Amino acid sequence: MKTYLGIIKLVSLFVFLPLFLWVAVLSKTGKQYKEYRKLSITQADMPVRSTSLQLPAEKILSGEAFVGELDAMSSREGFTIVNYIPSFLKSEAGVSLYSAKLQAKGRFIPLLKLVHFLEEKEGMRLSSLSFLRRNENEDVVTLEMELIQLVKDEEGRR
Amino acid sequence: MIWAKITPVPVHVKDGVAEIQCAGLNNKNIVVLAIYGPDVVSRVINEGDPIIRRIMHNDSLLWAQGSAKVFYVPRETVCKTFASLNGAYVADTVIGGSKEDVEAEAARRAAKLGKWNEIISNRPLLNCVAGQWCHRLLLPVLLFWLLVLSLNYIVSLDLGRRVSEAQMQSRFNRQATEQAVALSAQQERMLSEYKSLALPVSSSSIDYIASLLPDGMNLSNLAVMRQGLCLKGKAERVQSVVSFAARMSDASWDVEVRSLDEHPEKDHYDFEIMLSR
Repeated sequence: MKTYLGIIKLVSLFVFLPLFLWVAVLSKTGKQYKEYRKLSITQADMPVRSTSLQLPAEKILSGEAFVGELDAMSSREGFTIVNYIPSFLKSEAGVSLYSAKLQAKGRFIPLLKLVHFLEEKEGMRLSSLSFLRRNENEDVVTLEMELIQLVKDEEGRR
Repeated sequence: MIWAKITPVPVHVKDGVAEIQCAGLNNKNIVVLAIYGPDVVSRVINEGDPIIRRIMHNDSLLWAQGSAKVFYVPRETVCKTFASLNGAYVADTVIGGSKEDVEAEAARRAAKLGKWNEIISNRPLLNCVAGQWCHRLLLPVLLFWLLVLSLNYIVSLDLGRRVSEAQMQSRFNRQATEQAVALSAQQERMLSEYKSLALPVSSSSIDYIASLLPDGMNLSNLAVMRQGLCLKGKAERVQSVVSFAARMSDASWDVEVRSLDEHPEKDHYDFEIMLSR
């Protein structure tokens, strides 16, 4: 045994000691690093889900700008806004549905222009539309329509 | 390349006493003893000399062959000095008449024994060299591992913190994703409800339909629905309604005359027509 003591010491110093330190200590750090890498990759690969609905946050129907536009158009085209009633219908998942009842009176063509204007306006849709003529001897037509708008709530935005 | 440090050690033998002329030896040293002095006896080599043969076969003598002489000394005299070597490994022994000669020869032997092929072929020497290397490298190696372990401790602490943060972030992301999926589904439902409520664009159609109304046909109600347009009104003649229906059909509209009733006063017809594409 004594004949090999020096060799045993040298082998212990350069083979067994590193092996022991790796098994006892360093491999745990290696495992930690692997786990960290795995978590990093998992996080990077995790799809970032967001509510991607492209909706306006501005409530057009109850905004004074829209009412102002209607008023300006009625003066320009020569029809009358008889009533305009905006209302809130429902809210869910950070998205709210608003509506507005609009009644206007005037000649057919200006009212048709109003319909066209509202159809072209971004962020809102028409949910009902009807032209009524109560007296066939008159040119005056009543337009009744309902507008709807889907709005993303402030807290619903991501 | 010299792999081991092998020290020539002069040993002076006089009056049956061997004196090592080197201090500070220990069990990590490898030495070549260079024995000289008055007690060293030499004899010229002659072929057929029986004394030479007896010297070589005498276990109580320590002998070495020079170029023309055999030098020898009582083994016991030299062995007494081994205690003074403090466990140093004696790799070889050189015996000679003068100090200069034996020191030169011992230095040459030491250089030769320090070579790799000499070490590997001599197991006790290999073991001793390994011990020497081990003794020499023990402290640097232990310092190296101490440094590695210190760094490992710092890295491990940092990694542990990062892993727990990443796990927390991962849990948070998973929850956020699940919530986002649920929220997105609800929003999609609201959007599809909104789309189902919305009417198709119809102003140009209304304009076109109005332009095709024949004389003698008046509309009292024009309603836009998701499935089409509903027209109600009065017509002076049935022919007017038929003509209008034909024009609409030509324009690729599906025409459904839902009612055509003669008015009690018999001056016109009330009609209801459904137009769709």
